[in-house]
Amino acid sequence: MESVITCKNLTHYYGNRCIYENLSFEVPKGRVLGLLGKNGTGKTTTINILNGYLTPRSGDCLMFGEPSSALSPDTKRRIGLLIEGHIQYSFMNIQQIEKFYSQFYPNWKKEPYYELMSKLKIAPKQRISRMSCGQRSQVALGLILAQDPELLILDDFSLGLDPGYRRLFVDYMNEYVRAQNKTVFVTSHIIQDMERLIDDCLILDYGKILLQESITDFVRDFKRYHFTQQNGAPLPQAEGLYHPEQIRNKVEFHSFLQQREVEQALQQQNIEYANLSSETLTLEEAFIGLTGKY
Amino acid sequence: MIKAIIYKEWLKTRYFVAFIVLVGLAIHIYSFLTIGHSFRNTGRAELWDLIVNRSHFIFPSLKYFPLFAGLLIGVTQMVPEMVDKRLKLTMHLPVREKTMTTYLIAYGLILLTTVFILFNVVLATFLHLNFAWEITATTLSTTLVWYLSGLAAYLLSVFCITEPTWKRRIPNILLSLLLLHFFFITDYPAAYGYFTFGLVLLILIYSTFIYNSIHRFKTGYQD
Repeated sequence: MESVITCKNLTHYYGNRCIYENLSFEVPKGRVLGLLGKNGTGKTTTINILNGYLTPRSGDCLMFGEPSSALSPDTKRRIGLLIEGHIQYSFMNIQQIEKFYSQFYPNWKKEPYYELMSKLKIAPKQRISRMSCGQRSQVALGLILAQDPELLILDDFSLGLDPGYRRLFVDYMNEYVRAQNKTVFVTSHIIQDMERLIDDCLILDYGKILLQESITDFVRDFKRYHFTQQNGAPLPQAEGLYHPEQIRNKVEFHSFLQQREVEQALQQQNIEYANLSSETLTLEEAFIGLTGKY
Repeated sequence: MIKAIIYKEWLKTRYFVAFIVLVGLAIHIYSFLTIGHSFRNTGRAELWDLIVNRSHFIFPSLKYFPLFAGLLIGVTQMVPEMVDKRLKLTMHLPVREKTMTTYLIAYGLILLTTVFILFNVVLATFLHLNFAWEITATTLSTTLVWYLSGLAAYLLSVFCITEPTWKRRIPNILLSLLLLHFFFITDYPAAYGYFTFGLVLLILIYSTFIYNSIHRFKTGYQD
């Protein structure tokens, strides 16, 4: 499948602090990829590199086959960008900003923008700077819908939004990208919102990729296991058993392994257990299970 | 596309342009009234003596007006771009980085030049009606240097504001103060003579600094 975004061996440091080394991934056309990671793992850094707002220490990043650091106007026209915090030209009102952007995009569709604006309880001449964060998010979303880009890059779209606006944003975006077969690269710190939107996830840990696969496979294969500890056995430490924790005599950990393989791993470590059971997880629970709570 | 960029820049600066025009008009009217007052109280002969024999400059209150106007336009045009890094939005528009930078600078320079020409026409008319050609020419060549300082102040303020790091911005501010000093070396009427062309060259050089600041912003330099 044709790749819209291709990053090869990206390495970036802030001073001496390594953000990641040799990060490689692709986003195929028509897929919605969510970049997940704890704070400080490099999500916004990656978004900045994709848009050419940051030069990585090494590695290549191509958008529609062009280096992200030197995108041509035609390629920029194919990319819709939502900056973290729904930043827009706050000195404009909703009519002015629509008039402004429409001049840059030949396929501009003002109808979806004004349809969304009609739902906001704002005066037509109200400046964006005087709007709530939720209202600003709708302005930014409406502008992206009007631009009708092939690729959407959404940096932490849920930042500052209440649950209602988050739901509204996700519902609109979901409907739009499925109907139009758009490619989306999205980050958010609220994983619940992502679960309803994304096809694939790329999970970053400090300095590396932990996982890149479809969320269907991830939540199907990655499980939480529990058992009751017997005779003060130690916590399991085998490879493939993530973040074991103990509360009184109940032990919990996460794994991609099947229950039979987990039993074998526990037996190899001579861990005495009883009542081993597993449960399937939501994307958020699976994310925390894989990356840990701390 | 250019119309849209002009529209955006105009939305940011329009109230401040009006303010500059009002302040400029007030300064010019004040200067004209003061000279009229001198005509009546000390007499034309006395005033001529002051201007011709003692090289007295009769419009000192105009000296810092262009500088103030240039700084104000630079600040009002670029601070909104730098707050929340909105310049990223501008740089994401389907225009090449250098072309967009040129449009932004050209807007400010053309706007200021238009305002300055307007005031120079007003001043030239007043001088033409009241003084000999030589005095008009001397006065305009003196104020020309100050108006050029306004363009330089605009460019240098944009250069400093769009620089993404304070580590570099502080030396840039100090350098800019030094570079602006070239426009205020002397108050002696028409003292700059042909060096005025040198000042125009300096302004062209200053404008190139901005490309570096904006490129540094674009490529992600930070403190």
